[in-house]
Amino acid sequence: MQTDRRRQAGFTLIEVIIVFAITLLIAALTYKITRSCWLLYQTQTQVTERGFSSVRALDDMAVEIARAGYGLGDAGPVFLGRLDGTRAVDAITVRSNPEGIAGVLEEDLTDPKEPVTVDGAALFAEGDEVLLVDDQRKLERARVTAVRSDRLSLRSHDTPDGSFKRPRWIARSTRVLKVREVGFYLTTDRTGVLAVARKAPGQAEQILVRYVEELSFEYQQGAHPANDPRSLLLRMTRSTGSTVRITLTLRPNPSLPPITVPPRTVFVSHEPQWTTIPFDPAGLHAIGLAGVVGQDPATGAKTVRMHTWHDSRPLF
Amino acid sequence: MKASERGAALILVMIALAALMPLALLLSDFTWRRQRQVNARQQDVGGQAAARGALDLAMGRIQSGRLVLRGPDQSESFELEEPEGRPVRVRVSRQTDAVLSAEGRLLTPEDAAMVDVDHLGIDDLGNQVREYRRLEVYIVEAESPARHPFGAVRLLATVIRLDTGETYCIGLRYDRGYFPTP
Repeated sequence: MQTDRRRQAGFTLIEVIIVFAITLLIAALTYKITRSCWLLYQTQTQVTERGFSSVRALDDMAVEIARAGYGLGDAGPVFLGRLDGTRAVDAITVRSNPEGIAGVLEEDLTDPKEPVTVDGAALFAEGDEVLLVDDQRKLERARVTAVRSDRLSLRSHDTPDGSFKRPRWIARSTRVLKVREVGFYLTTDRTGVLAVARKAPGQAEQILVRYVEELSFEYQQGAHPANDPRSLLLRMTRSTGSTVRITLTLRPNPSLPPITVPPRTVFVSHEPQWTTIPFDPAGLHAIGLAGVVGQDPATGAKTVRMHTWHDSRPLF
Repeated sequence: MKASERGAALILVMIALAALMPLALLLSDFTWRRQRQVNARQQDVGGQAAARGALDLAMGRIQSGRLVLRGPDQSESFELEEPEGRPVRVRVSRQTDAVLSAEGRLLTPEDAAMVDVDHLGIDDLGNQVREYRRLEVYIVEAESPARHPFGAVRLLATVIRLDTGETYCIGLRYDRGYFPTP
């Protein structure tokens, strides 16, 4: 009888209060842990996104820079500045000639209105972007405005009226190289955010990463052959590696929890894209040689296209 | 334990598991994201380095005579797979030899057949100068295959071997993506 009554009595008030207190405590702990986890999740998502974005952007730039100069020979593979030719530390223009199209001036070039005879003119097409390079490695950017059998009309990119900065480009010692320029630079996107962009010929501007604090490029010339004691006796047979240092600092995304984003720095070495072939033991007579791999349109087989130039850099 | 108590205990355990599951999933998501970031970097850098190493190896073999291709249509393929290393497929194919003149002209095969490639001349200083140099031309293709979801890294290089045996790379490019298997 007494047992039945106790069973029907349920819980005492103290028991209910204790259970309620424990439940509240557990609920509070669970809430705090969940909230911390959520914050951690958002922070980690932001850290991962910032880290991944900077790595991808640096990687994109590094791949392009590593193959700079492909098919160009000894002509400047990298320009520290924008695609329009203005110098800037937060931009780099990477040059290559993937089709290996090259010609040599057969007559002096002075006037953009006068077509000049070019050995290899048939390889070029109207609208091609080219580099004029002399045997001292002086460069000028130009565009092919007309092609007539063995003659090309060229117009400088570096002056507003198309006239050449140099009064005369000398026949036989000036090469005309088709060039593909890819630019990486800081820009402001549609929402007004600072971003790193990539622009390649025939492609729309591509935003690589947004919320950028700083982007800088530094070109470090490799050991110049003239500084190498061996160059007193022998012409060095190939270019020694130069590097580009890229520094990228990102800001946190303002719509996510604040984090610290460390700057990232990458050194990119240039690959060998040409060599010098000596014709005598001292290398006083030497020819520069560069080559690219192409594809035969008929058979699909891989072929090599090479171009040469007099490597007349002074030995001393 | 009574059946009703066992039921209550089960429900309690289920609730506890349900509460802990999201936390476990969150932690696993962090790890997965970080791992993916590291993998991407490792894949890109490692693939490029492996392909570059394969080029150096191929050049070494061409220079030492360990890899001999006698004609322009010949090619040789090999695979590099070292313990803890990355597999790299390498193909070396020989192209038609080139003859380069001291004036910087690349002779056509017909012109090259008509000249004495070993001919020597004398320059203004009285030094002996070779008039031509014969170049063996090779294409080296090295590919570090794709590992889903990361693309492959492919290297294409032009290598020349001089008649004195030295080899030089005169052009090299990397490409990333998914390439058809030859």
